[in-house]
Amino acid sequence: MDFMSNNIIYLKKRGVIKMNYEGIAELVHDIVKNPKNILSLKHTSLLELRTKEFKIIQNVFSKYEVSGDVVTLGTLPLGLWA
Amino acid sequence: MINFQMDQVISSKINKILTTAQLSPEMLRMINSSLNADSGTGELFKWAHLTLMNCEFVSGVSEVALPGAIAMELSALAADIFDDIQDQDNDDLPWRQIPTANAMNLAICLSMLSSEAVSTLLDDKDSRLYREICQILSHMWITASDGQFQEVLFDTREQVTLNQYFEMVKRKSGSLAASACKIGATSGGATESIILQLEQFGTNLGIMSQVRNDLNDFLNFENKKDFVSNKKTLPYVYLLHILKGRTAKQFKELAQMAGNGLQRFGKEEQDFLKQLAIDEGVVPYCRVMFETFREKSLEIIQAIPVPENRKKKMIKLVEKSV
Repeated sequence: MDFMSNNIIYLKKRGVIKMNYEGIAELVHDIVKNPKNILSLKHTSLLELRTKEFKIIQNVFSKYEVSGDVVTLGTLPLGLWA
Repeated sequence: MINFQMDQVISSKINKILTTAQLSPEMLRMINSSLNADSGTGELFKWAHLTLMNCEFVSGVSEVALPGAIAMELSALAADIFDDIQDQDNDDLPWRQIPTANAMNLAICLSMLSSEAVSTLLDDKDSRLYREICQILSHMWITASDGQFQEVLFDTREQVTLNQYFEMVKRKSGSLAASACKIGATSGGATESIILQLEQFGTNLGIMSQVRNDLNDFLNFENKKDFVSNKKTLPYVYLLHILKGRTAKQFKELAQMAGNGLQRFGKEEQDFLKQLAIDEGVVPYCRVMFETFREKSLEIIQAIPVPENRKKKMIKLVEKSV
């Protein structure tokens, strides 16, 4: 079984296709624990799933550095309307 | 009208309401020092502006929403005071530096002044708008207080699901911003469909704000009591959900220790919680959820059939929150 199929099975198993709060939490947790999964999220076939939450997770992880540094805890800025 | 000029108009109208109410000098002083006291950005009357912005979005003008905007500002301040009394935090704010009994009196007074602000619509003989805004505000108070009620109940529960958390936040925080948006849209004469869309937009905005506060306050042990109060914030509920085995047991023990008093929850325990939050992905999860509601908010604005130039402010409002 190729790399891609493995990842699709993984995502289905995790309930990513049918996304919900708990599904998102588990996927995020899995990626943090196993950053290799970020690579699978970048695969073009997975983008075809067109799950909005999925794209959001990709974007957040592309900006987020799992460095273990306290700075990464950071804050969400207050913005115009806080 | 630019914000500075509008701030002056809002301020003058609030002063008029306060004068008419013939309040004691002490209560007047307290209200004046409480207005805008929690503005993190220096922006004044944020709730009034959110209301006015929604009115301008649907109608091109904002002044017509002033009575509702002022009512919203006063109601939101009252709700904020009740929330801080409940949570026993934000000790530096004016209403936390007076006896709790008087903080409650202040909040009750503000919520009734909010009703007075709406009643100025009757001077213009606009009883339909008066009724509608009264209804929106009472619905907001009912929903928000029910959300607050749930939040306190959650404090004593060992297990709260993410679905329960988001439902509670939708009621507690979402209802306030939803009310501001709905009042603005109603004042601007929007159709029922657009009012509903903006209500949803406001709900998302309120949830975004709560997610941000939950994340920013989670490890702020000096100023916030979220963790030691067993408050089921998003980081807490996320950790409850994803931790398994030994780490779950350690987290549970830590929460119990914190609940038993700050002395036992010392620097070592605080550092452990901080490391746990880093290791288990609290920040990316909160950011993902924040972005999810932001995306939903943007989609709503994009879908509403108003001229594109009116959308700019609303889009900026959501995008600047990133």
